[in-house]
Amino acid sequence: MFKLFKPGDLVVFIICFFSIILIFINFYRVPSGSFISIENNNQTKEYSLSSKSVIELEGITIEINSGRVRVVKSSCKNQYCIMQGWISKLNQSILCLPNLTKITIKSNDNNITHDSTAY
Amino acid sequence: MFPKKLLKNYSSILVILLIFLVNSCAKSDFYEHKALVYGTVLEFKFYKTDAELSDKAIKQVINRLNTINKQFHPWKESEISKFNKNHQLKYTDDSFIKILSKAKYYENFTHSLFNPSIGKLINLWGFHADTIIGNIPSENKVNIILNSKPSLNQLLITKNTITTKNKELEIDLGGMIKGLSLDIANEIYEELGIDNVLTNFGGNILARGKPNNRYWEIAIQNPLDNKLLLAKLKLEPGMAIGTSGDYEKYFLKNGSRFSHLINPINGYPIKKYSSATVLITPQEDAGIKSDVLSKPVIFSNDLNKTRDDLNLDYFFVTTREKKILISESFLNKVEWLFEKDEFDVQTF
Repeated sequence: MFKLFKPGDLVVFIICFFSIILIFINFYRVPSGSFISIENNNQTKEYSLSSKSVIELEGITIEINSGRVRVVKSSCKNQYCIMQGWISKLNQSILCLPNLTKITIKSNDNNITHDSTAY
Repeated sequence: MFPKKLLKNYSSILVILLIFLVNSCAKSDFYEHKALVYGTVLEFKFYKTDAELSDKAIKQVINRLNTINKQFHPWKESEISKFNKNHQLKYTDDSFIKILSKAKYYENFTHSLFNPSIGKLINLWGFHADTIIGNIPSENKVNIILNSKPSLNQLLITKNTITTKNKELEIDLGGMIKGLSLDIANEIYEELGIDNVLTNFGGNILARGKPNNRYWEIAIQNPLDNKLLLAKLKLEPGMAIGTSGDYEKYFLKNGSRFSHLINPINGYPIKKYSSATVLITPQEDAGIKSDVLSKPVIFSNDLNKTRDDLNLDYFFVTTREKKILISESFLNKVEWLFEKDEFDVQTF
């Protein structure tokens, strides 16, 4: 056993382990200014990601719970929107074309593109 | 516990791992702070500056600005409001005269299109108040002030007093204070050895240094909708930018907009343009110029002549009819953020 794994392998293993964890933390981090945007029949409404609510729209029911959002009920034929399950990451979206609905997680953090605004 | 040989052989890997960990846990290189002084929002964004030192600078800047407001606030209790009432004032602080002299210099430089002596006119239109009610004055009242040709050149300054014979002259440095404050902040950064900071006082911005290997990047608000952005540009170290717009302070009456930007020549609020933005290259008084020079631009009848008169390369004006007139050299520096064809952009 010890001939198979040298002590250096342990170091490499630790590096890989921490790297993977850090990459995942960064990847899954949602900026604090994020919100859910729901476009339905050409109307757009915004909801807080931290709210806990069930939104009933024409033909589609959407659930927001602990920073995630999903479609729970839909009148569409294929039910792809329900099958997609929860989304929680920035810029992820759920589409339901028969119901003309688009759910997206957006960020309103304007500082990403510029340092200050002149007016 | 940890084999010595292992440490020896893999120490470099360990160091890399440690750097990686420390780096990913490090705080942001930026330190931001917002404050409110006499109704003006101050925004500071320091890059790689010690937080304690940054706080020290912010505190010093705010103290200086409070002093300036106590000296120059046009309608609250201040030295200048005392002068405006009595047309004479005993002063003790030489910095007071220094600032007035600077204002006088820029009044002459702009051929009185920036005129800090028309405080009475601005008050007549109802803009000397925290909440603007607005008042359209009679032509007669406007003419009485204009006919007296108010100018800081009419001030008589002795060792410790300022007086004037023109009873229509009232000083209002509102068109210069934000820019002056930027220059004062810049002096304070210099004294404290702070190299990289972006300062925004009420929409006027001065770039000092730059963050890392890029320039400070700023956006310009859309003058027709404060939720939208009009353009984006990079500020090189020492550059300053300022805008005068009819959306800042105004009142609406009979369906018309009356802006606080009163043309010192005809005594009426600006109608022709909705905003004027000027970019000042690194030079002395960059902050003041970014504030003051937007006035001759917004009141301009001939933008080409204004460019030559002021020796100003980078500026643009916008109209309520969604037109942008921009100097050719400035066009190369900006990146528009509006949908194509939303504004009609023309160069001069």
